Amino acid sequence: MKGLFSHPITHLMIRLILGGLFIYAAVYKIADPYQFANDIRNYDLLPYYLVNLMALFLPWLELYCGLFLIVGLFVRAGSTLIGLMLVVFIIAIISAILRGLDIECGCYGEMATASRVGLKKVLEDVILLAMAFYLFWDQSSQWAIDDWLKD
Amino acid sequence: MMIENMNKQSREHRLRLLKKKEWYQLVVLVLLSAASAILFNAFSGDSLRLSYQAPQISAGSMLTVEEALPMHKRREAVFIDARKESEYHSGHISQAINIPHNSSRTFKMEQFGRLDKKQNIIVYCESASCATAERLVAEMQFIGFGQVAVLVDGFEAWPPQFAEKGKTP
Repeated sequence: MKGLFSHPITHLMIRLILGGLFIYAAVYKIADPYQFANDIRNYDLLPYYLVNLMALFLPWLELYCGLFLIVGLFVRAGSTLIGLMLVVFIIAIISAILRGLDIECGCYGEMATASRVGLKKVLEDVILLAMAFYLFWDQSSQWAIDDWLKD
Repeated sequence: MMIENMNKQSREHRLRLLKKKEWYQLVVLVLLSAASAILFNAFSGDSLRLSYQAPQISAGSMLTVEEALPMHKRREAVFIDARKESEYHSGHISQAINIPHNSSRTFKMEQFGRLDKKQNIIVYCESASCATAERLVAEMQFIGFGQVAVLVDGFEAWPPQFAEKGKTP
């Protein structure tokens, strides 16, 4: 089991899955920032003057973190940022659940599987957070640009 | 013993916060994202204003029942009920369309798509103390509806003879 966790293929697979999901999530939000701004506003957590800034900035951060994970560049920095974003998402969703808000999650932008906030979303994000933590912890850099850039 | 210590050190190293080089990489990712966001927004046809303006319902777009009723009688405005479906079914302004403020965005977009952005639209919720109508108005203004107003005192102040029960027309 230990061997499986530390196997370079596992590391690569997790990079691809996490990176792919973040790219997928980002593309829809970049294409429709108005909708994403609405989703953020529905959480009622940010002051108004930050809503649009977040709606513009976050999807690009998701996109770059996803792309960089896939090509294996800045993997620890990227997984740290992804982890931080996921912690924020988890807190936002839990706070929405606790306040009884029945709103769109806004996790993957406007798409067929758009879904409401709920414990399922929290669980999904916790799994993704575990994957980000794994990439942060496991410093394998095989099949990654980081490997070529090593000192 | 030595190997154990080395393993321990290695684990600690892994869990340590980022190295200096990795902090720089993190900053690069953040700056790259910020620059891309600003540039993309500046050059995209439908750019988003950098600072969101809180829903500012001007005096003209807060209507009392006395102001809204003539428009209802003359059918000069479309009425939107922002309350829950169950509340709508138990009684609503006649001919009003039900678009619950917390309904899915797919549903909202579908309903908004049926409306003319240049027509008079009056949105209401239960009473003067509810904020759901204002929220829906803000959303509608966000996507380009220009003549949207809130019925200040909500459905509870609406004359019952101009109300009905049942489903969305």
